[in-house]
Amino acid sequence: MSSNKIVLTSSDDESFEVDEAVARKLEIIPDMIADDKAILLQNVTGMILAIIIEYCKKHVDDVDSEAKNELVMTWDAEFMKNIDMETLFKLLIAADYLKVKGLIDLTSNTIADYVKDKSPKEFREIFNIENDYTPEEEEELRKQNEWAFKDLN
Amino acid sequence: MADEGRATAMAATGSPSNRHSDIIAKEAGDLISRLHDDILQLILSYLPTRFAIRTSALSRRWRHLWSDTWSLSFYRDRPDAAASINRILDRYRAPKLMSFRICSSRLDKLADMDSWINFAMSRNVENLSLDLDWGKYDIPDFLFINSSIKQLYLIFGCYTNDMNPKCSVSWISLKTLSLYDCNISDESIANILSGCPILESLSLLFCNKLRVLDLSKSPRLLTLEIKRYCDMEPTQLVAPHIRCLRLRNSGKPCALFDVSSLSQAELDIAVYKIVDFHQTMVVKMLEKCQNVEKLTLGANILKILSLAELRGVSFPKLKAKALTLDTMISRYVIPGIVRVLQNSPDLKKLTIQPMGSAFTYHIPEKHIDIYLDSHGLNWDQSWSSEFNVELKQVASFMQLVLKTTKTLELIVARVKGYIKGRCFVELRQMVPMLSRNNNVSIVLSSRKKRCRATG
Repeated sequence: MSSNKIVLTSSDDESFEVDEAVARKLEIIPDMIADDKAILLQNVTGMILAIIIEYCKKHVDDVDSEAKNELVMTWDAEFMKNIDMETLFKLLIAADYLKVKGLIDLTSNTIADYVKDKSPKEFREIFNIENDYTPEEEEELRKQNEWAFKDLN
Repeated sequence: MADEGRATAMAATGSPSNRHSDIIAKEAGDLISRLHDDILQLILSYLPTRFAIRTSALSRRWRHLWSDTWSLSFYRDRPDAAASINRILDRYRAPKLMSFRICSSRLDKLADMDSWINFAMSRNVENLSLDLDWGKYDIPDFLFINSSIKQLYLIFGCYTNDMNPKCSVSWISLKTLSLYDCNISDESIANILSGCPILESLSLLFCNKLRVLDLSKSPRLLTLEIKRYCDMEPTQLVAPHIRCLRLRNSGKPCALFDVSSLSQAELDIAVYKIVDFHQTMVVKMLEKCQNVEKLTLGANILKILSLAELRGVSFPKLKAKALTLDTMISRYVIPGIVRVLQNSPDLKKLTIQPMGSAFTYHIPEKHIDIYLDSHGLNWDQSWSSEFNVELKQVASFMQLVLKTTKTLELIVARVKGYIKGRCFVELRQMVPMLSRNNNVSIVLSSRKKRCRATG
């Protein structure tokens, strides 16, 4: 079993030494691994990178085609529970950049679950959306999608 | 995504109570408003379509985002949703649909279902999940010839729904197939199997007409799940290539099966009244799993094995390295557990989950008592019954396990929630000593949440 270590360095100079197998869960990495065992990730801060590495360590033995182990699913749920909203968004952006597929799905799903039944006002607050519709336009859209808005207050 | 039981819109992730008071700082707010469309669409794709559509009224940027995402799901929507679904499909813009899920319960008419399936197929759908849930609907023949679908979940929920393709099935990209409550015949399943050259995982849940399942010509099919109700006729199983089997057998005498490559198995049996042949049947199931490395035994199997043990039926030796016991701790399962442990000389890891499954058929205790009585046998009364949970019982059980098997390296006891409050705390205090004295790691944790299938 290879115990090759790779050093991942964040944009704010935090370094993490991990097994090569864990590093490879960041699918952007294989292109970057040459002889260099140290990789600089310019777009990711140390705090976020630490979380991503924790996820990758847990999932290093995942086999794509196998049904998700329920023990792992419980761990995933707990893992997400401890992360606040702001960090979740940063995590999603980083996971997308680093191409950590399982984490992208997990984080998107978690955010979706949270916003699912939020009112438009709350949704706009969370996503920092400025409403650029005129009141008439907005009303028109609601009418068009009447069915979807039916049990919304 | 996991595959068992009925489909839900998405896996449960839960929302923590601390998020409600989150205030997102201004800079984070800016960050979020600069999120790329792809990222927003990722999030939207996990929302049931009914919620995703609402976002079109948020701002101009969001107007069409929902229609470019790669998934559509209509899950237990209102009965009058059919017309709305048609309108939504008209406005959906993405050329490629990764996932299409529809649960039709409460929909007034299924008349449009054909056109919805057609729509999904025209967008090269990869994950298709149809939950007919008591609606009467015949799967259209055009669905059986398709080259894009990789995962297919069909839940029928009503015995008058047949699935018997009149043409030769061709699902050349299909890797996962799950049929629930389906009246599929032996010929039809054979037809399907020959049309799925790369099928890897098959679930046949409560398909009551199946008598013969021959997987010998499907060498890539490695995972099989079969569940039967207690009075269903058994299925003769020929599956020499499968590595992982999840089987809940019915109580009828089972024809022998070939599972010679098995490395992982979960076994249980659905019975209500106990008869003698159940014991031979269960021991035979165990024999078939002799070489399995990871073995899970359900509560009813352990009860019947215990009866077998009390009646002197002999057990095979097992090569299992990891054993999971999906059962509450009671006198009804102890003899069987002890014998299984004694017959597992390679066992390294033991997991006990008293509250594992939400769908267990519990053989009523009085049936077992009556059966034993009729054979002139007795339980060891030092163990209590199933629902009488005490710290003492769990602790004694752990000590019994440690005494019975000397090769263990790890015990995982998912007993938090099974024994509560102060008792759990006391147990946790006993663990380090037990662990040290026996040179075994002991982990106490809570029960797994059974996440039901996501299509």
